[in-house]
Order: sequence, then structure tokens, then C-alpha cells
Amino acid sequence: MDYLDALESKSICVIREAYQKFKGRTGMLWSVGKDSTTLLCLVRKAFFGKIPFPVIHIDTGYKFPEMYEFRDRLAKEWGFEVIVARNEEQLACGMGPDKGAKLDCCTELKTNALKQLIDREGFQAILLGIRRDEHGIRAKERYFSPRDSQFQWDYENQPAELWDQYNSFLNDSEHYRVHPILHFTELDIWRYIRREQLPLVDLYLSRQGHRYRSIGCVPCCSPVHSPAASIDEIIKELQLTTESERAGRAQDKENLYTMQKLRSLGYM
Amino acid sequence: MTGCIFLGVDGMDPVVTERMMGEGSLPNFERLAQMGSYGRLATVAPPQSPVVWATIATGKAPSAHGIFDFIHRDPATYKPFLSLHRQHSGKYVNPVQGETFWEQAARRGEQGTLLKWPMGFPPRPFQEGKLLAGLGVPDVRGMLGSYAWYTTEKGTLAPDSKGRIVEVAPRGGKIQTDIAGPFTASLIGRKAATLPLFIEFDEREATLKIGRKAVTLQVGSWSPWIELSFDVGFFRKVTGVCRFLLQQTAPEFRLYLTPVQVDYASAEFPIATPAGYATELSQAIGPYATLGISEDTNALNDGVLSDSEFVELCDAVMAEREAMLMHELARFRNGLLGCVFDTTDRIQHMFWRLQDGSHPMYDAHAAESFGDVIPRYYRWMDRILGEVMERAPGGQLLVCSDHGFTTFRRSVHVNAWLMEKGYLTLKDGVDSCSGLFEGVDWSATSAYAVGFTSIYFNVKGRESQGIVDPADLPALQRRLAADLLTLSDGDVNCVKGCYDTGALYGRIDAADGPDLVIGFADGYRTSWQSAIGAFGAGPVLENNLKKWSGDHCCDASLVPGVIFGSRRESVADVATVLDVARAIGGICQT
Repeated sequence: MDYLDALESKSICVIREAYQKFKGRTGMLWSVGKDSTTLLCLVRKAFFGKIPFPVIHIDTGYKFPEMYEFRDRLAKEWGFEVIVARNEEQLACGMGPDKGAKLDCCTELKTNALKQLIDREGFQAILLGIRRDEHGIRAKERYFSPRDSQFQWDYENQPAELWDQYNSFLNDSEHYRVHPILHFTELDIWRYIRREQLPLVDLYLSRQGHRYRSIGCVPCCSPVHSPAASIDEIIKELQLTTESERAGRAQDKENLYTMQKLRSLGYM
Repeated sequence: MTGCIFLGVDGMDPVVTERMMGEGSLPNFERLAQMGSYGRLATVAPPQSPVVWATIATGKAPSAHGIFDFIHRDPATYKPFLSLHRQHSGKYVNPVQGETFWEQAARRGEQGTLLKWPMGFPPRPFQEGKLLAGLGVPDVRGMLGSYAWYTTEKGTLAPDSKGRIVEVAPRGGKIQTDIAGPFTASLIGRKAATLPLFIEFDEREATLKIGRKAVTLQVGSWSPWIELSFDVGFFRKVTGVCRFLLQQTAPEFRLYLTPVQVDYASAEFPIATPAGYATELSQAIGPYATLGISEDTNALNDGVLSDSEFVELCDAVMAEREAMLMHELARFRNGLLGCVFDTTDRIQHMFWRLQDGSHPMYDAHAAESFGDVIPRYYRWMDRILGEVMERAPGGQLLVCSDHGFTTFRRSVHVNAWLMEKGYLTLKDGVDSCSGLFEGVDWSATSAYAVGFTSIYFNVKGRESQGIVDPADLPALQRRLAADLLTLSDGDVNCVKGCYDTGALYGRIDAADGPDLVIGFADGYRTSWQSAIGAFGAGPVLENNLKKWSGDHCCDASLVPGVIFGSRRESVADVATVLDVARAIGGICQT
């Protein structure tokens, strides 16, 4: 079996396990980025061209216009339904990255929007396209990761997943985050996208020497210097890079904190 | 009784003091001056509270104690940071280097108690001594003070307000919202721990429910200190204390929440040594504000608190400080007792506009009601002094301030000026920088300004992308200083002096200190934007349109402090703030 086939099989196994266990209580998050679009493709493969559960897009209202356009186009082409989750109350209040306490923006527009949706729709398993190599803390994730009703994740209290025995039993008022592509690396994703010829938001490709390596909300993403204008070139570039994938994003968050801290001084 | 009692009065200005003594409204200060001595006390450059209090504590110049400005920068990343907070392996460490006068006294066996000492956070333990930290103590969010405002009318606020503005939507006189607490690490980076807050209100009052606690407030009244406990995950809790002010419930709802201040026994934020001392004080005098700057100047600047509400808050802080001092004075027999009052500083920062008819924020109507606030605080200090003199007749008394005060009418965008003069360059296609020097082309930048008075050169081997050869530094310093002295506002010079720190302090630690210290002329100060590396092409000078209208971050010669001593010989050779620690040491030994 080819290396990418092995990664694919493992993901499909996790996806089917989750659906077998939670059936109509399953949903998946689709951020429209490269990872969750890959996950979407794997779900289609797992169920022979169909997506048997709702696809949820958390809309902060601050995503790139290209992302909204791509979301609607792909949903139409592939024929699946997208549930758009927005924290309308906070958006109506003008919550955004420019608001006084900037760090509350992600909590309100992402976490709480999802919380509200889970409460409303009663989801027990949410599939997510996160990967172990993305971020230090994500290395501690399991394929089946339980969250309590408060959305808290106690990473010291989760059973080991040995010999592909996944822990998918659930107490009341809990839900599972399921991570079918946890074992993919950034490079694997690009190789898989190339092999499967997956459609993608073109923000990832270089325009005038800049491209996005990770996309999300406009104010919190910055492009990287890169001439890579095709998927082949991106793969070549990633084989050599020493910069972290989320460098353009995490940095921004820390900067917001630094600014907020400096400005808490009365002299400002 | 023997021993030394030291009272620090932050920002006590000689011009105001002398005028009021002349009028006879500071009888106790006058008595102290006649009995002992009074003089103007030269301060160090730059005359910023953290710098000067560190000098008073150690008797050393900034080059030795390591505090040069409110804001320093990291030469590796060029990022500005607060000099008040230093962290090492995830724990706060005290940033002031060198032995303090109370540590020296303790070595000689003199017991010391220091109340609300600026730059004392976190306190270093000393033999049989007690210290409660003042300026520098953060709130539970790690900020210098971030308030929250629950309101139905956000529209009137400045867009860059600094607190957490929560727009609430009441349903049938009920509001469900939350209180933001400490940041916790999470998958998506920093996230605030929260506590649910449930409010029920009618026209006259509101009941606030936080967990099992409930408090009912009349419109216009302050709550007592309320203890909160935030769950920060992994079975850890952070506790804090806060107060609410119910400003109004109709037609609009407005509820102000002070920054959530660290609890007396907090392990994450140790505010006192020995560890139980802060709790002991709270048991003796009742709960009190622990935040370094607990007079919420940000909320007044942002228009969240009115002048009168801000004064009410300041009055409470001042009264708590007085109670603390009286509590310690009652059991003081010998050794050293020190207490720093800094509400005088905040009051002058915020109300100077009402005693300066030429200030852009002068308001004749407000002056009628609040024109007397600054003199009232001087009189309050005088009353406290009288009380101390009466209760501690045998002790030697020393009163001093860290700097004086002056007006702040015009903001100077120093980095914009550096850009105009070709010292600072932005990258191609970037025309402004919103903060932290993002977008600066370091390969074409020779100098940059950080904080309120500091200029650094982009030196090879020190800054990560340095271009200035260390050998060229002296010539460049001279050139920039000369250029800066020509900066004018019409026919008025904005800068009185620009000092080479080598000449100012003697030796300087290569990595930390600035290369030049700016001494602004009367009425001018660095803009807040420039202080944190935000600038663009545009006017270098701007009117100061904030209520923060008095300041002292100008040339040190313009804002001397004051010194009073109960025995002339003890303070005879105290000419500058550098001599205070030695004088206190001398008194303790006699």
C-alpha cells in the first residue's frame, strides 16, 4: 500500500467508527481551509460519495471573501448542506478584533458560536480537521477526545488509544471531538491534495510574492513571503522551511495581548 | 518611641506646596518645615515614577537599578514591554536591582514595615520585615488595570477604549452576562476564564448575582469589595476582589466594574512579604484595593466614569491607605515605617486641566465643581501628616515626593519625527505602523523611540538587525540630540534637553538602557502612540485631548519634588532623590 493510502485508510476507519457510534448525532466542522477540505473529501470517500451528516461552518463574519465564495461553490458542486453557525448576539453588539478587549473575540465568535449550536442541535460527536504537527498542545490530542458540558478538555484524563482501540463511550452532557486526520502532517496534506486534485481557496497560492499558509479571519492572518504559486512549488517549499505553519497567526494573538497590556498603563 | 517614619507622596509638587503653605492651608507641613527643614528635591532623569522610586529605594542611578522608563524594549525583537513586570520561568520576579534601604536596615537588625511601596512587586523577603507592594501590582488578567463596563449604550465611547465594554440586552429587567477573569492557556491561545453574572434591576436598584453571592445596589452606589473565584482549569483557582458601581438603570443601563484585583493570599501574584501580611492587613482594616494603580484613570479617560465617580473611587483608595498607615503606626515602636501615598499623583494627572486655563481640555464649568480637588488632596495629606506627628512624637519624620507636576498640553509623536528626519524607515508599501514597530525596515533604521523618554539606536551586535557601528554611536548621539533640540511648535521649543545616558549615569549596561533620554519642555510629552511604537507620516505634534492632562515625563529640572525632615541635620545633605536612601539609613542608625 502507498504511504498516502495508509494515511487515508486510517482516517476513513476513524470517520466510520464515529458515525457508526453516534449516527444522527454526528456533525463535522468545515473551516473552508485546506485541512478541513481534505477531511471533507475523506468523509465522501468513506461513504461512497455522500456526506451523511451536517457540515458546520462557524462564521465569525471576518473571514476572507474568497472563503465565503469557495464555501458556497463547493457545497453546490459536491451537493451537501452547510449549517452556518454565527454568534448573532455578539455580532450584533459589534464584537470583533477591534473591540476593546480583543482577546475575547475568538471566544465569543468561535467557541461560543459552536457551543450554542451544539446545545441547539444536540451533537454528540464533532469531526474536526486538526493535525498533531500544527501546534504543541495538539500533540496531546487523541482521535476521540472527550469534552465536558463546559467545553473543558482535561488532557491528563483521557484513555490511551492503543492498537487502534478508540474510546468512544460517552457520559451524559458530554460530547466528543473526533480528529480523523490527526496523523497527517502539513506536507502530507499537500501531497494528498495534489494526488486527489482537490479544489482549494486560492489564497494559499502566491500572488505578488506572498501567500497564506494558514487562513482564518482577515484581521488575524498575515501572509508569508513565498513565490510558490502552484501545489508542486508549495510542496517543494515546505520540504525546506523552518518556519512554523501558524507563525502568521499565533504571533498576532500574542501581539494583541502585548498591546492590551501596554495600553492598560494610564499614560496611554 | 524612636525610629524613622517615611512618608512618600507621589507627585507632590513644590510650586503647589509652597503656594498652599503660603496661604496657610498646609499647617502641618509648615510646622514640619519650621521645626526641621523643607527643600526642593532634585529628581533623576527621566522623572517617571518607577525610575525615581527605584532610585529612592536603592540610592542608585537607573543604570544601576535597571529601570529606565515605564516601557523598555527587547533588543532581539524590538518589542516594547512594561518595565514594571519581569517574568522568569513563568513567575514574576522583582525588576529592581540592588539592595534597598530597608534591606540594608534589616541587615543591621532594624525592623522595617513598608506600605504600598512602588516597584515592590513581587516583594523580596527581608529579615523580619513586612512589605506590601504598590505601583506595579497587576490585576488578575495580568494588566495594570482593565475595567469592565456593562451598558446598553456603547455608541458614545471612544473606539479605542481600554476596558472590556459589554453591550447588554436586558429582557424584562434581567441581564445575563459574565465577568472576565484571568487568561488561561488553551488550544486557541489565550482565553479568559469567566464567571456568570446575573443582574435583575428596576428604576431604583439592581441585584447582582455571582454564583451564590448576591448584592443589591441603589442607583449611584458602590458595592463593597466582593471576592470572586475563577476556575482556570486543572483544579486550579485564581481569586480576586472587585467593586461594582451601579451608575444608572434607566433610560440606559450602566454598571461599572473595577479591574478584578488580586486576592490578599494569591500564590500566582504575591503582593506582600511575609506571604500572610496582606491578609493580616485586610483583617485589621477591612478589604482594600491591591492593584498598583487602583485609581482607574483609564475609565475616566474613556468616559466610563464621570469626574465625580472617579473622585469617589480615589477617596476610597486614599482612605484605605490612611487606615493602613494608622494601623501600623499604632504598633510602631522603633525601626522603620514607610508608606507611599500615590493617589495624589493620579488626581494631578487627571485634574491638572482644571487649573490650567490654557489646556485644550480646560472646562470652566467643571472647574467650578472640581477645581479644588488637587488642593483638597494636598490638605488631606497635611491632615495625615498632622496625625502622624501627634501619634509618633519621638520618631524622626521624613516626607518626600518622587517628582513634581506640570501641564501636558501637546503630544509629540517622536517616532513620526524620527521618520521625518530619516532615522526611522518603514518597509516599502507600508505608510503607518499600528504598534510594536510592525512594518519597520530595520535594515534602513538607525534610531527608534520607546516609552516616554527613551531613544535607542539600532546598534550592531546589540539589536538583532542592528546597522549602527558601535564606534559611530557617540557622533550619532550628538547629531540626533542636536536635531531634537530644534524641534519646535511654532516659536516654542518642544525639547529642553536631550541627554546622552553615558554622561547622565556614568556607566550603562549595554543591552538595557536607552542611548538618549529626552527632556521635554513644559507642556510637552511623548504621545502614547509613539511610546508603544505606533506612528505614521503626519503631524508630529498634536493637542492632548484626554482628561489625563497633568504629567511629569518632561525634563527633570522642570519637575523637582519636595523633601521635609523633622531634624535639619538628618536631611541637610539631601539634594537629590539619590540621597534619600542614605539619609533614611542614617536616621535608622542613630
